[in-house]
Amino acid sequence: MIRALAIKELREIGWIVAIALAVYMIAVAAVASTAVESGLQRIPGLDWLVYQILQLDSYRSLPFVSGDLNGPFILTSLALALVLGFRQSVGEAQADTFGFLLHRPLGRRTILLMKLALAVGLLWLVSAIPILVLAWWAATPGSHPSPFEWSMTYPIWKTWAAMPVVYLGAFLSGLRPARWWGTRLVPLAAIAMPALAASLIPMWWFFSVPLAALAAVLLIVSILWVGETRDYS
Amino acid sequence: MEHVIETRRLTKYYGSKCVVNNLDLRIPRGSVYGFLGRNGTGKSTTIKMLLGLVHPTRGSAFVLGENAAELSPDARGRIAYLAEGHPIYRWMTIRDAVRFTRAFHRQWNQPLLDQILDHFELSPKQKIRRLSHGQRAQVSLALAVAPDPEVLILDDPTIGLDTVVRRDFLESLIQIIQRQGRTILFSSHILSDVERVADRIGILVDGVLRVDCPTEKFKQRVRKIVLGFAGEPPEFPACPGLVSSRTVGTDLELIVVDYGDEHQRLAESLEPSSIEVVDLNLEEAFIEYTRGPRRRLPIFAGEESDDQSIGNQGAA
Repeated sequence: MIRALAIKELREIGWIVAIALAVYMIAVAAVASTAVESGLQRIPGLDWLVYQILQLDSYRSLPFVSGDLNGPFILTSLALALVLGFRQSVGEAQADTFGFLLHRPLGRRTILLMKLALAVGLLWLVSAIPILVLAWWAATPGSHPSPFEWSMTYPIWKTWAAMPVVYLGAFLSGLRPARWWGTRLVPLAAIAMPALAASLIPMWWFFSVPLAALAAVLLIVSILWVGETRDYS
Repeated sequence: MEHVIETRRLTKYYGSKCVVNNLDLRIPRGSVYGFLGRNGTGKSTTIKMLLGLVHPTRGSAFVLGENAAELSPDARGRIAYLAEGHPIYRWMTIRDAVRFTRAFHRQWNQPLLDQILDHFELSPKQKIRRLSHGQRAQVSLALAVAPDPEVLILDDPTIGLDTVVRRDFLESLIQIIQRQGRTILFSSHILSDVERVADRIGILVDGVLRVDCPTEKFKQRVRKIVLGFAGEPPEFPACPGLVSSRTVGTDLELIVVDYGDEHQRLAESLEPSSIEVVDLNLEEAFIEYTRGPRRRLPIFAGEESDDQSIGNQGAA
């Protein structure tokens, strides 16, 4: 049962994750290219992506320090988390398949938790890839003329850790019945502060991670409660 | 008598609008129950409350002895549900849909499923999104029946299907019904469909169950009385059982439940030139009954079997 549900979810959100991965990898390539002045950023179209969309510096950068991956990473991860959350909740409602899905002989909580677990797992997995690839490239001697310490990646990992909170906020916004889009987006507005705090507070093991975890737990409890009590009319 | 589906004063409000009002429904095991009503009378809401997809404002519903609001996975496995519009994941092929649905059931009658797909000339390779509405209905029926459910709940399954597909769909449904002990609740507003398969009907009017009796009884008891006059027909006096009266030329047409001696006496007191009692088919009876002044509709509900008489309970 769980496997069938997982395959169904994967088929529905896999393409979104694949697009996000492609964007991440373009960003990694762009950051690496600005770091070594390879000329990659001068490829027609890529310069626009590098400087205008990804907001990367045009001067030689230090990976994870200056002209870094943070900007494009935050933008892509935010978009991925929002699209995943709304696709899994609003998508079912729009296709009118909630009734079909929730009538499967499986607990409603199990079905919802399965959706959440799979999406959070994919979100974390796919957004960890660009960090690890760029870190591996930066840590490889001879790749670029600047030092590299793993501690330089901590800020981006904080953002990475806070992204499931955004996803859960989007899922709850899509699942929760609302009269209009303004009230529908209340959960997303509510998670903006903890998500921002979790990715900015310096002592991340003591503050950021527990804060993100607390927000995530509250959101999961709310999702399960809404999932059990709302009308699927 | 064991009731597979039972509701007790089931009520649902959306805001201040009462969609289902104090519904007491009892459907015995093995019966085929036609759940009728005009659009927006609460049929789909009732069905969704029976499946725990909508929560009642008041009252309760039980299916297979379990509270519908907390149906266990085991009970869900024994209840098949065909939603209105037959929503199945459009990106799936029929084979994907079968695999997905099958994974949730311990019991699965693959030969029956193959037989139904074959009968409707559906290939497992076909994409759901490429199927017509009728073909989606056929796939839904096949998927619903394959786990060999005890209860089938169908929400307007033939809506939007052309005559031939509808007839085919109903033939399959009849074959399924013939499997002993299976209980079917299906809502519809295509009366000829209901007449073909249902042994009992319930009619919702503005969320109130006005009729709950064997199909034949309903047809027999709603009558049209045509009183002929030489000139302008007089008003017919209000009396128990009178659903509506209207003037058609020099005739006075009455719709009456349980036309009896009292009605005959009242009709004769108006001194018509002729009195004609017309039998109605289910569709005519339904139309005439449901378009009457709703608050004054006579109720016929609460019968357990064909043998019991139907009491005219008067206005609700």
